[in-house]
Amino acid sequence: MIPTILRRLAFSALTVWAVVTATFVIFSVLPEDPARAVAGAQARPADVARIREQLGLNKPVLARYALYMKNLVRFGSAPADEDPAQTLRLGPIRVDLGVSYLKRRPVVELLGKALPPTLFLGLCSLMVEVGFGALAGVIAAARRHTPFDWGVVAITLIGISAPTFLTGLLLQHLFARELMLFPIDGYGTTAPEKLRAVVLPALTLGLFGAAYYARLVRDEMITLLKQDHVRTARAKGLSERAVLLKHTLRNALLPLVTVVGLSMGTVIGGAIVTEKIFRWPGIGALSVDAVFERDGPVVMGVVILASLAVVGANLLVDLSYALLDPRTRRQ
Amino acid sequence: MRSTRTRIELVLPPILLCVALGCRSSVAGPIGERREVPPQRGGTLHAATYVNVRSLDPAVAFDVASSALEGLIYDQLMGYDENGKLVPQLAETVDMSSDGKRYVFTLRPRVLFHDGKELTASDVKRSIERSLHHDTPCPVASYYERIVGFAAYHDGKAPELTGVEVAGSRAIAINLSEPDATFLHVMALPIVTPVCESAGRSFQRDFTLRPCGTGPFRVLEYNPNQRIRLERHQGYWRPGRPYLDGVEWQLAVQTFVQRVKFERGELDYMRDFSEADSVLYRSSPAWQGFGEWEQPLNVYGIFMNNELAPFDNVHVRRAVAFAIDPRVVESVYPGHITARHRVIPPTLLDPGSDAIAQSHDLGRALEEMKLAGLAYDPVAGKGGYPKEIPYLAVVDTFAQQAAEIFQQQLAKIGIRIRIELLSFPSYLARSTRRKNALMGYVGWNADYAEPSTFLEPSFASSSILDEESMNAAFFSDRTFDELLKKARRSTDALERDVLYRRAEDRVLEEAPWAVTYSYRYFELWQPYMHGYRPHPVLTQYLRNAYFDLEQRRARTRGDSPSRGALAAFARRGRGAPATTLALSLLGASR
Amino acid sequence: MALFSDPRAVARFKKNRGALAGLWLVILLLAFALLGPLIAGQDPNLSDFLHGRGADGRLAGPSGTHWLGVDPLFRDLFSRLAHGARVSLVVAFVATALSIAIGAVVGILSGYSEGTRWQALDTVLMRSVDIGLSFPYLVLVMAIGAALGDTTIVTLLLVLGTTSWFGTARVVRSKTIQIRSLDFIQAARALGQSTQSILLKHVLPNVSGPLIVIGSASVAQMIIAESVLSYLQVGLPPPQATWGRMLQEGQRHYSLTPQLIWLPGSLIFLAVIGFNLLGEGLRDALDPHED
Repeated sequence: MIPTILRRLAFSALTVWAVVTATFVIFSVLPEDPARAVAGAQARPADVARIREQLGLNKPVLARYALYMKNLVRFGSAPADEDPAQTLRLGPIRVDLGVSYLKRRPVVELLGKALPPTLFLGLCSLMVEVGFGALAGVIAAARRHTPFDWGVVAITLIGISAPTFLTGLLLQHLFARELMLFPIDGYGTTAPEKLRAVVLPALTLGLFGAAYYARLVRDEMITLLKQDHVRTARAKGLSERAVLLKHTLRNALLPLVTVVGLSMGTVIGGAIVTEKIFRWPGIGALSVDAVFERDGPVVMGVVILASLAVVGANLLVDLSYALLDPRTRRQ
Repeated sequence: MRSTRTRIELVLPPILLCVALGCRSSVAGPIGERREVPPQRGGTLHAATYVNVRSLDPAVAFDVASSALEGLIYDQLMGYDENGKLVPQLAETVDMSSDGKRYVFTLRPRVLFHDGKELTASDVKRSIERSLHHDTPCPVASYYERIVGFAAYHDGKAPELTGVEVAGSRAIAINLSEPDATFLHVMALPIVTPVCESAGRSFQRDFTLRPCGTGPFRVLEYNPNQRIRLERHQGYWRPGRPYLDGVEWQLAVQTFVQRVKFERGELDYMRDFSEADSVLYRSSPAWQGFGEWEQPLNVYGIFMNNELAPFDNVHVRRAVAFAIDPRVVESVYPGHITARHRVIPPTLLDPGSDAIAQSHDLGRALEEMKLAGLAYDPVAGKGGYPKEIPYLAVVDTFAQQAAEIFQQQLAKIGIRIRIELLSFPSYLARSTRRKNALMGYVGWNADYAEPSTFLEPSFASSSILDEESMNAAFFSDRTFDELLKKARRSTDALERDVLYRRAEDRVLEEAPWAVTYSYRYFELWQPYMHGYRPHPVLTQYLRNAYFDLEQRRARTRGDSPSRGALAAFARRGRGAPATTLALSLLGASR
Repeated sequence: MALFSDPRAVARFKKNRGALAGLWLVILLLAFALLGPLIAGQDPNLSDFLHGRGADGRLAGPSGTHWLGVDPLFRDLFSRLAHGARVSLVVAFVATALSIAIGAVVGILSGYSEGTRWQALDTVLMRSVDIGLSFPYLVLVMAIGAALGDTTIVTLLLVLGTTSWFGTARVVRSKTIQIRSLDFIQAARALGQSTQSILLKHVLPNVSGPLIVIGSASVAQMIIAESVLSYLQVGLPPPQATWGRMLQEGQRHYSLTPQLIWLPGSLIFLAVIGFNLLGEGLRDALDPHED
């Protein structure tokens, strides 16, 4: 198992490097005037010139890349004149994602402030997905050929077909406007307010995933329920419930681990529309505004952060597979 | 799936959407009653805006969204009373010399900043110098160019602004190089508001997050994309004021969402009405007698960059001005938009019966295109300007919608525009940068009730800067500049008016702008809110508002759901059937 | 292709009500997109101030001139919806084609070289896929669009197509590995057929089944992606009619003219459901679970 883990770690590190490099390509090579893209429309020419020098835009691409990496990841402790909010400390490394000239704050600080709401939303939507999804999938598989099964299949089709802004607007209209059960938007200041505020966005975000997982779990369960060892168990006279629980559930839920892990990673970059509709001050809203305002450093920071989250989540999933699935363990 | 029933998933969603989003063509009524009550202390005002506020630093914030908040946070030497008359504010008395070149302001005693320090004359001098400093990107520094020593100081050659003298701990004298009819007006602008020492000697980026002045409210929290919270400045110089405990201003809230919040009592005041909601509220019997139209002094148009092709050619600019027909734009937002053909609002300066105006004349537009060498044949669709012209507009605003209409009109003379949607800060930055933007929407709100505000920042060559140039058309015309100078120098009101008119005629002929429309808001506030009316000069001058607290308690908030829902149903008119139908449908599908 | 050559698959498809419903939806949508603009005959970007205005300046409702009424700028709603259908379908189809093409090539090459002396190729390609899957899709699309400056229909479908092939590559790879071990492939190899012709003549046709299924689902996803982008106003610039932006523009009018929201909304929804149903039907027809 150890070599597997080491291999996964090594690969994750490679992925991180590749992501950072790809981001460099997109943001430094594509735009017409990368210095202006970094500085944003508001920066004055003196600032743009300074940034142009900092980024080394007059140098060849490889030299620029080296400069980019050097600015991004630094070793050792911060010099005295550096703003402590400028970098993120990870052990011996300091990560510097630059400064948003629009908001005049370091990018790591902006991301740091936007991350907790997104994580909170992601966690709640995950609960919706796993809760409704797995539950519906299991019961649908167990009750095949009944209206419940048909209903689940129908509703999950709606779930995966509706774009988030439609479901979001619909939920917002029904529950916040007409029925007034939840706040229309916003994050809330106190804990109870936040709990109320997260319901609709979490439902919106989770609906797609719930539908997706319900189907996934249902399909897995159906396949498993037909397998030999289950038939044997049934033939042996075990109750249906015992068959369900003992033999199939664990295997059916295994793919769920994968997809749950993936969602945790993707929610960081993915909740854009939901956050916009519900004015949720998370990473998604930050990235949309940043794209509009051409705030280069923030968009870059979001791309890097979101990709890293996915890489991290994948790593966790792989590691838990190694632990959970006896087949891989034996390798 | 072998189901023989009609597939629910095909039929249900459109029905749900239709019914749930149903025709709620009535609005919830006012909350509480309007009683005549004397001012009371207490309560926090909740308001919202659909834009983001760019900055609260008075030296640089010059958009309408910031103005409302600046009116709550800062006081100036001069102010306006509720009728729009210029009166002393922080100054107790103002003495003008007989030749009009020296003003002495005596400050009120015991005026405290938000940080607790007392206002002195040297604070006033420091604040003025800060705004006019060489390193401060003040968009309208030229308003103050008649102060002695301005040029030297603003260019960075002198260490202080010599025309501003500290004449005692509470007396400040300002010397002008020549009489200036607009001087007291510009002393009422937030540009020269006294700010705390934390603002520094010149523009610093951080000040916008911690604004500090002498106004009735101080900033408690400034969360750039979410909201701004203000609380009462306990040391405010006017006894008993402000009445309100605080103000909460939510940012970037969509218009239709604002309406819902207003209905639920989460907003006490509102003016960002969507097209449909504006019609509904204004025609609703329950709201008759409430709410008022602004009387704004503003003008909007299409700017054309005089320094870049093809708009360096006056014939092309004239062609655009003739091609545009702003009257049709009025129907997009009825009541709010008035088509305009001159720059200065008629209430400010009567144009006279034989005034020149830009007009809509397709024939003449095509002629002008021919004179420019870009003849266009509308039948064949050939000719015109060969390149697509990028047109700047702010996303999700009326300007965007107007742009789509103007695009159609300009196509008729062979000019194809490509609409570029930008956020408001990006639009400001790009439209005010030299040799950057070719064409786009532009608007101007009066800073004070005098015609020069409409002419000078937008069209004087002295307003041209490389960055943050308020003269977005980069229009430079000697005749115009001379007329404007003469007018400002003149002490004869009638002569001034004639000169302003002639200057304006010049602008209309040379067409750096195609004038389009003026825009007004309809403002609505709940019956329990008093002490506020749309102000003749200032935007959303809310500082004197107060609540009838007893009536205000009648409003239900979103956080008591059952009461809220029930109360809302009780207040609603014909909308109820659609909602009940949606509810029953939901029940059925469970 | 595998579907049409297998009469049992066709029969299974025909019996599947859901699949048929999906097929009908797709056909109707295509008809709307192709014929709609021709039937309506109105310019979707032309404001009609004469007939477009209703009582006291409100938006005109459905009438003889404007079958579904007008949009907030008095442009014919039916035409705009039909042109929006064109945009959605063109973007979705071309981007999907691009994405499938890239995904198939990468997947086949990767799968075929797995376990052989070309394993390195497989490793490199699959690692690239993993990296690609890490990127936040929408943010990436928006960012590239912003970086390139201008969003035209070409840049939009290029960006969408080149950022969404990763999943396809994975699936094609597994299928290729499966096929590779089949007898007739071994036979072809033994007979000395070149790798190229094996890939083209034997492998490709056999992965076409899953590709079609993926394609259908991908079209649905692309329709969603394009509508999300235009809803956020980062898609095609105005005055281009797209369903997403029409919905966004209609929000301010919902209290008086709700169809401005639910017409584009329903169309997006039905289009996506149609392609999803079709995809599922194809999958069930080609590779049935027993029932």
